[in-house]
Amino acid sequence: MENSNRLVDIALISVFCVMIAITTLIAWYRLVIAENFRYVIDENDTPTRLDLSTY
Amino acid sequence: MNSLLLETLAACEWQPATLLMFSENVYTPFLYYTYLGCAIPALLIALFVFIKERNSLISRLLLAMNTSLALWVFGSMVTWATPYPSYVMFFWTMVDVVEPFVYFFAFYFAYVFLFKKDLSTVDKIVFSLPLLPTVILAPTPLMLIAFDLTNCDRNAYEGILALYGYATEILYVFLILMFAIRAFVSRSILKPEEKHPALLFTIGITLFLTAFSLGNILELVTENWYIGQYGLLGAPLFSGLLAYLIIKYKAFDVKLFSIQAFMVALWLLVFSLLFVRESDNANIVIIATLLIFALVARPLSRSVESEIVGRVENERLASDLKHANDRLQDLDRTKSEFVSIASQQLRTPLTAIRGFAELMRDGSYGPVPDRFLEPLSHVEESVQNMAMTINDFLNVSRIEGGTMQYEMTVFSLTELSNRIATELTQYAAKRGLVLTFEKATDSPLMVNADEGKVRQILQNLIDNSIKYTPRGSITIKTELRSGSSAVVSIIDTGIGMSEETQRIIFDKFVRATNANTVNIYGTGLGLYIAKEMAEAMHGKVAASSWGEGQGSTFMLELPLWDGTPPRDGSQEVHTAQAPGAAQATDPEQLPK
Repeated sequence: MENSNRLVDIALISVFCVMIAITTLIAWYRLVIAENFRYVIDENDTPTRLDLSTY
Repeated sequence: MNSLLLETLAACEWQPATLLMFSENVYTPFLYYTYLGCAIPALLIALFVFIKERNSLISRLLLAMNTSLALWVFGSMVTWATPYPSYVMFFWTMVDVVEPFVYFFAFYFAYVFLFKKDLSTVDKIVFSLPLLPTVILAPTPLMLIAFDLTNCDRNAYEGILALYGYATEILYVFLILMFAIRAFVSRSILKPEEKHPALLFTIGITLFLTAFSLGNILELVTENWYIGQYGLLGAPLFSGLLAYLIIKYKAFDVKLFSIQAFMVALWLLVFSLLFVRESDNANIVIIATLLIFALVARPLSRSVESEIVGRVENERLASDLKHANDRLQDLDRTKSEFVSIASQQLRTPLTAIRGFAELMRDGSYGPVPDRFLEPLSHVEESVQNMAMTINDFLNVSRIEGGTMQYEMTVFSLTELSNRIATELTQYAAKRGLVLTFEKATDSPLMVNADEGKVRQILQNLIDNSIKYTPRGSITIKTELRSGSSAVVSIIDTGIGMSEETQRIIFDKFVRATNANTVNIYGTGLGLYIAKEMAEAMHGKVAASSWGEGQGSTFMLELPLWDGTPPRDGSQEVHTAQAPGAAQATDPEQLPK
């Protein structure tokens, strides 16, 4: 019983760790490496915001 | 980046950050750098507790909670310090993902702390599910929509997922409160002595988390992103909580370690000032401070260490001593009770033995042959001695048990002394002694005391003098001293006492070294009882002698009655429970 609980704990933690790792990598790639932004420019040609492109 | 964007960024004059976290771009630098002071000690303490208690779930959760908090602090600091929009967006996202984890672990920690058991598997899955959306959808525009370029504040627009994250935080705070209430309401979960610490813990953790959220929620509502920097002001509460945990763990090493961790944090705080000050003069002062700090840190740490070692040792010794003292008091009480009961039980048959011996000697059971008379008188004498010994034991037992009662009345000490002297004159004469009474004053010497007890003291002192005076005389003298005390002195020409004996003669079971040469009987309790009784009536007894073979003087001193009428003729006074030491006496003070 105790061992199975421990396995469940490890599984849960692993799932979260993997998901966090994937999310971090994707975010890092999109935001820092690829700078996956869309520049929004107003009528005076002044950039007003950097929109994060859709997933 | 396109040129327009570069121009916009350049116009803001953002400075590059050192180690991602230190730059001049931050708003309210002091508040900003206190983050380090909060996060580093918290993380170090959690690490240390984890190393000490690796198998304990609560120490693991503390580490998880503080690691999340440290990550949040790191991400938050980078967000405020970096000049690059891409970094701002990434670390902002990271902060928004990590933040609900702080709350989740805090909830889990609180549950284990209050219920002293782990969550069930189902509960773990159910309670961690709210974290999933923020983790999975973090890199999408649902979390952060865009980076604002209309001003130089380096703000991001937060999406619905960020709002959802804040909602989960409120949910976890709500869950903590709900479970805490359940723990307090149920009688089987918290023992009465655990309720107080549990309440403090719940208040501490709830206040910290609420203050932490409030900054973020307020900045979202007001769109004033600087407010977020105040969010961690709940950290002192969190530190208080950690301090409580340290006390709970009671590990000496943890106490020392926390001091060291705070010192390191302070050093880092001063060190960080190097990156926000440009003035060379200021830097010189900071470097000098760091050097001095580095020099004094070790001795300071050692002195704290020795202080803590000493205090812990003292606490342990005090606790042991108290325990031993309690046990001794229990034993003493038990002994007194035993003596009291045993004495009472012995007294009844002794009375019967003495009574029947007397009746036999007086011929109540027919004529007694002459050869029986001497043994019968031995029986009577022995029984008499034994009865007196038992009475002494009973009196000591009452004195030490604090049950001796005194009925205070006003009477003349001169008259009482005279009566006792008259009664004992024949007894003294049988032993070849001359007993005389003298009064140095015409005053009746009125005192407010228990007449029976005073009689007992005087009889005891005179009887003592008679026993230890083989030949010569005994003088009983009453006098007035200093206008406020009445004194009865018993001056004998007996065996006297050495200086050593005079110091201890009023202690329990003490007899003069030369006492056995004259009187083989005696328990060594009579003078102790006299001293205790006299002190209970606000008086004192004392003894003096010029030395062995030089005679002795015993003295009873009682305060004169001040004229206050006694309350309804009687008043009860209880003796102090702990027996005091014998009165040291200056022979010069006593009448010769």
